[in-house]
Amino acid sequence: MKTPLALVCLLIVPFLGSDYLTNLLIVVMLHALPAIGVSLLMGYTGQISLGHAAFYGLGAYGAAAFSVHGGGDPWIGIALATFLVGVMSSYLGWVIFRLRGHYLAVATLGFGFIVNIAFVELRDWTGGPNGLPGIPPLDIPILDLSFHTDGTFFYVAWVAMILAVVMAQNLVNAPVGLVMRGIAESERAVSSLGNDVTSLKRKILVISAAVSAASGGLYAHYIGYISPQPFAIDFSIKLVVIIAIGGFRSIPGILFATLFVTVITEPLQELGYYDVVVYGLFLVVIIAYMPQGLLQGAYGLGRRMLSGARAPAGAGR
Amino acid sequence: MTLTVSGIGMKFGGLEALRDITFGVDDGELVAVIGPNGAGKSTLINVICGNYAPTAGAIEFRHRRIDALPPHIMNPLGIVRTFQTIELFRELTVHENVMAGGVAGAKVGVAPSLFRWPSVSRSEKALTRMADEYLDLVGLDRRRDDPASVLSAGQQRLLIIARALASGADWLFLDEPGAGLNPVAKERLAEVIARLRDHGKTIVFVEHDMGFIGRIAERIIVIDRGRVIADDVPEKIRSDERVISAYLGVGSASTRGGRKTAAPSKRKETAPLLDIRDLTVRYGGITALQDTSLTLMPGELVAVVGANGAGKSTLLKAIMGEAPVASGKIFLDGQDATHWTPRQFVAAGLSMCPEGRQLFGSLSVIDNLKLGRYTQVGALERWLPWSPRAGHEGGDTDRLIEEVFDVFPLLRERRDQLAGTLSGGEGQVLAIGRALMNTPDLLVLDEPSLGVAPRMIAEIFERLTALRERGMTILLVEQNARAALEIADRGYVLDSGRVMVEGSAVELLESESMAEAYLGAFPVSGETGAARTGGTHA
Repeated sequence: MKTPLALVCLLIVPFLGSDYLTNLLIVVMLHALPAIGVSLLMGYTGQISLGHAAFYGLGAYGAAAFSVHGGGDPWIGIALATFLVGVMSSYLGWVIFRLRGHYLAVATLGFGFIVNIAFVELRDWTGGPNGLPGIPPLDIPILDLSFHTDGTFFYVAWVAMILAVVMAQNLVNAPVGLVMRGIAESERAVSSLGNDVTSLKRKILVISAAVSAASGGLYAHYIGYISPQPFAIDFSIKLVVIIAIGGFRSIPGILFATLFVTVITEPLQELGYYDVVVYGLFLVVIIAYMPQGLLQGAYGLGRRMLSGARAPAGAGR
Repeated sequence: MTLTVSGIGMKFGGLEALRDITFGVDDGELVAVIGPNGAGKSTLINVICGNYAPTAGAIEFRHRRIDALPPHIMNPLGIVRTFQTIELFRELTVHENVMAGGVAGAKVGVAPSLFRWPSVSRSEKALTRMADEYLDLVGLDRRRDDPASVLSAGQQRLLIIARALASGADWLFLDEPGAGLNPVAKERLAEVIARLRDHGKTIVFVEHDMGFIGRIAERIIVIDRGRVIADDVPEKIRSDERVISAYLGVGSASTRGGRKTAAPSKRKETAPLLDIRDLTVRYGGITALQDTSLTLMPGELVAVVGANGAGKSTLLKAIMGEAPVASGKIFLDGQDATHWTPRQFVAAGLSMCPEGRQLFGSLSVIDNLKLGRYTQVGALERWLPWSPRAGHEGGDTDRLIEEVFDVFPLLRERRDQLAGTLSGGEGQVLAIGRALMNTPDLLVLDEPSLGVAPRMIAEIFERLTALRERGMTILLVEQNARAALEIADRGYVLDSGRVMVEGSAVELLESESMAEAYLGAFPVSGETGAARTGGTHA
């Protein structure tokens, strides 16, 4: 419960008056949702996914299409898109969880490509490469609340993130969380103990996909315009980088990693296409030297350096 | 009978792992399943516990057909198993491992967990309590909050039993619960198994250590080559002629009496080719090999025999530089090779023919042979094999292939066939051929008879004799002791990581102690029966 309490402190951010900071944290909080989703599936349950950008994108396009083409209420659109992505991912899980390891990675990668191509080609619905403009911002007329500005939308993103964090922590701390981690280590053992492994994997995938889709829906209504590019494979890879930096199985670690990656994204853009090289380096260094994640790794490194600095003093006895 | 297995057969492609297996087990029994390596014991457990669907026959449990049901359906019916490879949840604590075992039975759903409904907290409490009880039962309560990965092998084996119990099933199938355990840990395990029996659990376990089995089992089912060859009380099993020959192997008539004894006087003058002195190998805390000494003179054929788990494979790993040597020395041709890498051993003229053959299945027979020569050929032949000079530099790969074909004509017929499609015996022949391509001074063979038809074993062993007569030094590691000793000059019998007996092959073949190394010394039946149970279930 410490993490949600710490996150309460974030509520003062919009009052600090820095538009840049507010905007940055909105993006971080929205990206934290799919990152948590990937962590549940990949970090805890050990099932690799290189296709989560697709769930995020389907949530965004689904919600956007509902309000732009159908003129429906944005909240209902987001809920509907989240629900449909959840149902779809359950069937997807039925197919792809026949595969394991590299094969699963390739299958999810392929799924990501297919969905992204659909965003480009289904022009009537998605606007094709030009994107889909004119997505209405969120508001709650009954309570006379509108979330048209960064300062107000901040609270929507915050609530969404808190819900995701609390639910994810509930799940991994519950007895079911033990079985999830068991699947990552030995499916044979988990299944011999009476658990239907495929069914459980599918349920985790549904949660993971739905949380990503919900975030995508919010993102669409926040930004007002979506195009296929942000939902391409690069984003799926970035999510994997985030959970590696976050230490795979740590919700606070992943929140920190989302912030870290979002902050470094901007300076890295100057490198153009070469930014992936830096992400790749991060991935290799962290997985090799800091398997507990950057936060834990840096903490351990700091402690070692401190004790290393003290050692010569003690050596003079 | 609560569990009836009738006419079970299991085929993997062309390999028949189980044939017409029939037996029954009643509630409360404590049954051991034994048999030599490759007999089909693990396959049998896999079939009963739903990991494989049998290709023939039927299994009934509590009047319900259970064959072909998946493991997670078996568990609520009351069947749970452990694995030879332990399959621990290493990232979880000891206590969490056991809790994880009970989650399926507690029926806590995923959706309630997300919202932490009261039912979730309730089952978490119940699971915590239950896990503590089972840790108590197996005596791991003091390690409760340690990471499971830091437990010793013996404790890990006890932990997976506690985890299996937590699933609520009362029929336990234990796959080699004692593998890799020292005598003290085995003693603990035996106590725990006896305690479970007293709690009314039914236990079926696969084991190799006959001493251990004789102490705790009330009934032994012996499997060999996929068939049940005996099913009786331990005392009877020990004297059963079929069981003894299943374990020690049957000599092949073709080599019997045909042995040519090489002149010992000639050997005395030369230095040993391989000289192992007081070698001790430990994996973590487990001593796999203790103060083992072995010498091999040039031109000798020496057999190392012993039951599964005796330390044979560890000895071979040490000879290839792949085992953590704790103390002792290995000399190859007079040089200290204790800490050599596999490459150095191969470069010094040692060729290994590994257990399970390890062929390159997607390559043809001839390509497998060429790969056996790979470390010897020059860069030109490796990268530019079409270059006219390649043959000169790399030497005589083609000539060697012809030589191997002369020794094993069968390979010539199959030169373009993929290695993966060969039968067990043909594959073994190819593995030996591949080892010969390296023109070794010392040929090491690990279990060449494993998974090979008897007729083929005779053939292979005959070829080995021929190789020896041509001056090849051979170290033969075999479970099939009789066949190996019939062609060997000398032999070593390993038991529990030590050399128990050594001597000329003829002496060993007649020796009593060899049978003991395989089948163990059973305690007198009366006293254990009383100490063990207090009530009999025969």
